[in-house]
Amino acid sequence: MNHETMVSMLSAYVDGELTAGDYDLVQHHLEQCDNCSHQIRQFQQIRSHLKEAADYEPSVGTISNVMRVIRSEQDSSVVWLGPERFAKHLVFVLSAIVIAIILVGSAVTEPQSIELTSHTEQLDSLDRGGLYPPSELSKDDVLYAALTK
Amino acid sequence: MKTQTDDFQLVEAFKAGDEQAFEKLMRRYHRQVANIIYLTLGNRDEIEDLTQEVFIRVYKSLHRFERDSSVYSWIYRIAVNISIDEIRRRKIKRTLSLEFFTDGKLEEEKRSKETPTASDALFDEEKKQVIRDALQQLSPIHRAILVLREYEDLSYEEIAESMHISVQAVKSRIFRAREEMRKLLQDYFEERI
Repeated sequence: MNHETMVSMLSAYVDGELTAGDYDLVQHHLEQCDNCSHQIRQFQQIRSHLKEAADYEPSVGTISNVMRVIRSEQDSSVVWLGPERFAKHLVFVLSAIVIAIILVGSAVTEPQSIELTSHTEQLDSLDRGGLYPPSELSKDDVLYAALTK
Repeated sequence: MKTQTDDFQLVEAFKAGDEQAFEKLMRRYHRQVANIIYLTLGNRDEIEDLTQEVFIRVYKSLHRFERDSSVYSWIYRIAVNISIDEIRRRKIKRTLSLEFFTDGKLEEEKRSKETPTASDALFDEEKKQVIRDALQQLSPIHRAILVLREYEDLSYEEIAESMHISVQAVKSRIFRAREEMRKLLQDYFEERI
């Protein structure tokens, strides 16, 4: 392998990310090449100084702040559950009311049909002569029959 | 490996409703996350806020975590994404001129090196700042990759997981990032380090 290829492998060599065969090749090259050896040392220096440069100590309050934010977000989501539940209850109650109205309405109209039935029975009894088949009687016929009886 | 097993246990405990498991996870990684943000952004502004943002996002998505990566590389991925988003948002400009490494300040550095009264602590602090400033010359992606490799010691595979790129891409980008850093710090290396 030529020098340029070796140079391109130096970074992976420093990181221990070469195959055993490539590692041996680079190792052998380093024994002969001062430039590459120098470059390796610089890579290692960059690493050690970069580690030192990461000297930020986060505040002890960071963790409690995060937990506080999370809890406050959870609380606000619980508050919003109230209206949601209310809406569900409202839909249920309104549905119940509509059903009740329908039932009441049908209950109110049923006596009328009974009444009509009784009228029909009356007409049947009035129409014994067979002048008017019950199914063909109009209200006027019924009224006339009642008045002229 | 032990840490990784512990991490998985904490995640499972959290999924089962144990909030303290999340707190333990946060205690374990919050310093690393803060420093990833610090090195990637290059300054201390808003590190606390961004660290909080990382862990709030971790909390919200932890129930979806699958064991297809380590917990820390998953957390670092969130930290890197937030840092890169922040860089884009701020449109951070290069704050340090390359001149620092050539004429003006380097001469000043040389002089201060020759001054026996210069304290070691000050030297250390300057050295760290030079490294941090050089890091800011890199693209956000190269910066993040180098931080994950050099500071966090993540393997190429873990970096690939964190950055959603191939191992081969990690390998070539780390090499390029190091080459850039080496060139930026060339004079400084020769004179000071």
